[in-house]
Amino acid sequence: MNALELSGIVKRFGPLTALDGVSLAVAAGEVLGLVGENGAGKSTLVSVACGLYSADGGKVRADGRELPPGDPRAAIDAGLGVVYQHFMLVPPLTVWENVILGREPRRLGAIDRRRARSQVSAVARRSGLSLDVDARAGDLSVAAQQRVEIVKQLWRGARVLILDEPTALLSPQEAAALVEIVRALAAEGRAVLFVSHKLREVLGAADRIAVIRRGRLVQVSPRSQTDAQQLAEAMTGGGRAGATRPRRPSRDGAVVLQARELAGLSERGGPGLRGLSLHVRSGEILGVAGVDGNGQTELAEVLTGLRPVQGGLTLDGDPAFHGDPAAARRAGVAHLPEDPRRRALCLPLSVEENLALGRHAQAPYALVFLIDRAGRREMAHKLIEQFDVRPPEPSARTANLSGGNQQKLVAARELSGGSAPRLVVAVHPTRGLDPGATRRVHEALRDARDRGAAVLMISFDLDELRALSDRILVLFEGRSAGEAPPDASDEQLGRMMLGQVPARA
Amino acid sequence: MSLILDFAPPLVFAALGGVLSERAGVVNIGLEGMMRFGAFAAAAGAIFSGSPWVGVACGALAGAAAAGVHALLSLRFRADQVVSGIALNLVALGLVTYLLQAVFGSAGVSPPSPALSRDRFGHSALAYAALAVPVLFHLWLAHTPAGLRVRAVGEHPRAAATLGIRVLPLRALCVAGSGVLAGIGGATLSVGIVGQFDARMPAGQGFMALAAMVFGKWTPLGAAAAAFFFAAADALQRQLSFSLRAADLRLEGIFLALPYALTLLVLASGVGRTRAPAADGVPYEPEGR
Amino acid sequence: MPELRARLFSPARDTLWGAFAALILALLISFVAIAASGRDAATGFADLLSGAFGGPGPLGETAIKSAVLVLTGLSVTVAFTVGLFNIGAEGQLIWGALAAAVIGQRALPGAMALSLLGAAVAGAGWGLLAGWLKVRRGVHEVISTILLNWIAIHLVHGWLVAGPLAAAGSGAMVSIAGTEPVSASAWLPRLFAGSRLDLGFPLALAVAAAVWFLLTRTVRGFEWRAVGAGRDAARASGIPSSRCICEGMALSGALAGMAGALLILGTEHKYPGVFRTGYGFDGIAVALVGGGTALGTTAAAVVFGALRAGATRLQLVGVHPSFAELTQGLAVLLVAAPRIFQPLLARLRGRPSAAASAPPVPTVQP
Repeated sequence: MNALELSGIVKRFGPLTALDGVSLAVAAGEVLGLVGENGAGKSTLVSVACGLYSADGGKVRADGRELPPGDPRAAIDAGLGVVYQHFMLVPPLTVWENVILGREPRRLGAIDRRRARSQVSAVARRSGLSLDVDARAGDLSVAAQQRVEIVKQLWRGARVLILDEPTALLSPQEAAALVEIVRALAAEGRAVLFVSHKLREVLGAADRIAVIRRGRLVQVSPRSQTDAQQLAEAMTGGGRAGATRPRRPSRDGAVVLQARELAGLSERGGPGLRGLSLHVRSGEILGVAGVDGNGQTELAEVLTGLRPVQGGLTLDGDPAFHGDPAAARRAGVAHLPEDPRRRALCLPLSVEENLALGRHAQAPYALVFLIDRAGRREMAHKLIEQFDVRPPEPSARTANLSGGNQQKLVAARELSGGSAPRLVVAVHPTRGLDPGATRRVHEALRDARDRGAAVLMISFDLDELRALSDRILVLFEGRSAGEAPPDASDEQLGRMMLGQVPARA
Repeated sequence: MSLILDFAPPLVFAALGGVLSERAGVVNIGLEGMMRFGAFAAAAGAIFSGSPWVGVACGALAGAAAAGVHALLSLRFRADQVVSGIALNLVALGLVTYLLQAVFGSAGVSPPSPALSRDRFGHSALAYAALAVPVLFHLWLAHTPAGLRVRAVGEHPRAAATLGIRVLPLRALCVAGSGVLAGIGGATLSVGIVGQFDARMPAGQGFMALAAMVFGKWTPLGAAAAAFFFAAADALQRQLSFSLRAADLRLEGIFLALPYALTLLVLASGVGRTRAPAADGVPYEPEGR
Repeated sequence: MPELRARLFSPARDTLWGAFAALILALLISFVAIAASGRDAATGFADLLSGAFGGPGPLGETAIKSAVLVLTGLSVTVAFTVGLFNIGAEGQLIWGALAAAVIGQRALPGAMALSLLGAAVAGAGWGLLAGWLKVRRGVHEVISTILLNWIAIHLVHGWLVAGPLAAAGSGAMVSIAGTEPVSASAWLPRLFAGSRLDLGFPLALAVAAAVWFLLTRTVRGFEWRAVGAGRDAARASGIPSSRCICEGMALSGALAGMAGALLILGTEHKYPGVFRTGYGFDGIAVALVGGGTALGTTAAAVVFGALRAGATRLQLVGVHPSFAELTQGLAVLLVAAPRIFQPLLARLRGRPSAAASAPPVPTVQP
């Protein structure tokens, strides 16, 4: 009998079919890998399995018993535990409070604090996960928060563990440690569903590997009968194998961005920037790698004028754009931010208004202090056509566009809306995009480079960095841990991401 | 001193109502309206039944019913919580005046209602309850499973949902409880202190309770302490206005404005970083991604 | 609390129909309520209509009330535009009214214009304070404007008008008397005989047109809307969002202050000892029903103005004028929850209900 069995799961969001008849089973003692590209339906499947979403069709069974749809409690009671990609911890509560939430041990109607604490510590100790049970969850590092999540599920007696993109925010070494833990949990007789789009880690952890593409299950095969190449083809439908086109050798362009000893605190308690120096030349892409929270956000905000900083910063030799977003834009800085829905777009406004944003006070978008509605409309039509934004309707509400089209809209505005950019700052430019949109954004970045822009791309995805970058700089605690060539191995980059500086490549 | 224990209870109960609702993640600007319904229903219930305690029960029920509308709009229909609260206040203003006239034939005041009995210090049982309830509320919020769940739902509802806690029903219960407390607060005004309903009630006390909640950093003990402090400012002003009348110095307004100005000052200075619950006012979509 | 964008920018037509349906439904409920209390609701509604539109006198009353509501409604709408929920129109109105009363006492040349200007400046100052607290000190405007309302009410009513600014020689009756009267040269001129219609209504309409033009046709208006629709995105694109918020709140306050001036210069002719207007709070209702646009707000203001003017006639059938407030509250209650009407609207369009199958909307963090 299977510990967890999904059969014929269908889930729709309005007109969009996210899952189209997916069937999967995991046995006790087994690790099943589930891979697929971003947007293939992995997270939706997880949400259906644990009862957070109710499916529009199909059944979920645990140990052979059918679970009622849309009832997380029933799923928990049946022994299902999920560790989400975005951790589900309540930041102001302590670790032990987070663990017992919803199943509190009681004494005389109150929470039995002593019993709760000792039970939580015991579970953590037994599975070799070190934790301070009295710490506030919000104060913990990413890896520690993940340990809390695992302890939370074990304490609840989870016999089926579902890990949703568990390594997305971890360094390669932390990820390797996690794989060890996962193997050990399976050896104790638990069933584990390991969901990821990182093939190497899945190949290291799983006994069998299932591939999902556009909401359909396309193959399930034992680890011994597949490899990264074959899985990648299955994930993409064979379309993108070898998507990296031959790299032009980097030209010796003029230095566009020069940063010396940047330093500034982060208000979020992270290290901020602590003496970061870097440069980017015209016609090259500098990839920036690093574990989340080592200064990436701060760097992007500094370069786009959103955050003042100490240190030397010049664009084409001119320091004027520093600390002033409007000046940065005038100086030719284009920004493809992480979370464009929040940081680049005014969702309630129309497509043409968003295309004008930032250049809204100059021709062709404005006449003196009035909006030039005809000029703006004409420009909007041009950009929409060039970047294939759909629907091709300048007055459509931006909120009604799909995520990929919103991203294209931002790229259109930032890269082609006015004079050619000097510096492009791209942060996780393809996170959450489907393969088609990803390809288009990558093309746009390469085009910008080929037209002579300096491009700085921050990403957690080492494969993406390797595919696009001419050089890769690794950020560690707010400064550079060194540079690596684009063919550097995971191992090499991983050590640098943990601050273990290697011999200069 | 004695005056403080008279003035504080309405504020204390209403402020606790605010804390309950907002800690669960639902903004409650409608306290004023809930108090108004409570005050009127309490007076009406007491007059028709002859018992002030039946009146208080009616007040609590009326507050809960008003809160039910807020919960329905903001949770079921995802209305903006601030808008829904304001709408409730507007409806309370019109509807209660309308009912007052329809039931008692006067749009100004109700007939005198039976008042709560007072002990030898001149205080009703509700005055003492205003001292005890905040402590009980604090213990409940800090140490019981239900309290833990309320805190979790106000900070990170999705995390709570993944553990099988049903967010919307729990929030709805907290909003209803908030209405009960505000309704009792209103009842304390009409059958507790004045002994009749006045068309102007609660004359901004609901908003003052909101200020007390913020001043008390969304904690039961803090909110109650702030409510007592505001009541003290009120009592002091009344004392002074007696003694100053001869000099024809009208300083009432300054004293009345003081609690609000202080709250604003504390907020603006950021002393101790007052922070609302993280998910306060953020609608929860069960299938949001 | 979530940002305003989700709250205000629902698909334009839905807002319009939602507001319309809400108004009709609110009137219907009120009608039933009156009928249920055993009164002649049909006659009452006829009286209400004649009280609002039946001849120059009633039309004048409607115009007077509408003018004030147009301005307080626009005040709230302008704040909405920059993304703030201004609950403080009442306090801003009070300072504006006081400024108009004080300036209008002196028979200066151009007294009326000066009084209006002074009122706008006073209101703008109180509004700006809330804006400043928001951008500089991070105080949420809903909380700060509620507090500022009560500070204004108590300071002006409990102290200034009762004390330092009270009319001389009013002695023991200070609390009722109010300030010295406004010089007649500052009064808003009446436009027709037989009606109290004064310059206030055309003035309010002109202001509404100007606000509409500012918000929809100018670069600065675009920047305000961008800030309201997405503060982070606006800031990243180089728009000075803090300055826009302060400007928006100042204009918001100025509009409410002018509403106060209309009341003083048009009807009261002094700052009275008892001045419970409620027009500031009504402005919120007007702006919400008006869907957060200048034109919608103006239309809603005229509807509610007529309702108020007409409601006084309802007393003839024994219904208290608070009926108008009740209807207005119900309308807001119904507008507040657009999803109530969504299934109906969807059916009218011949499409399945959007509420049931809409793709999930991501919640916006504050």
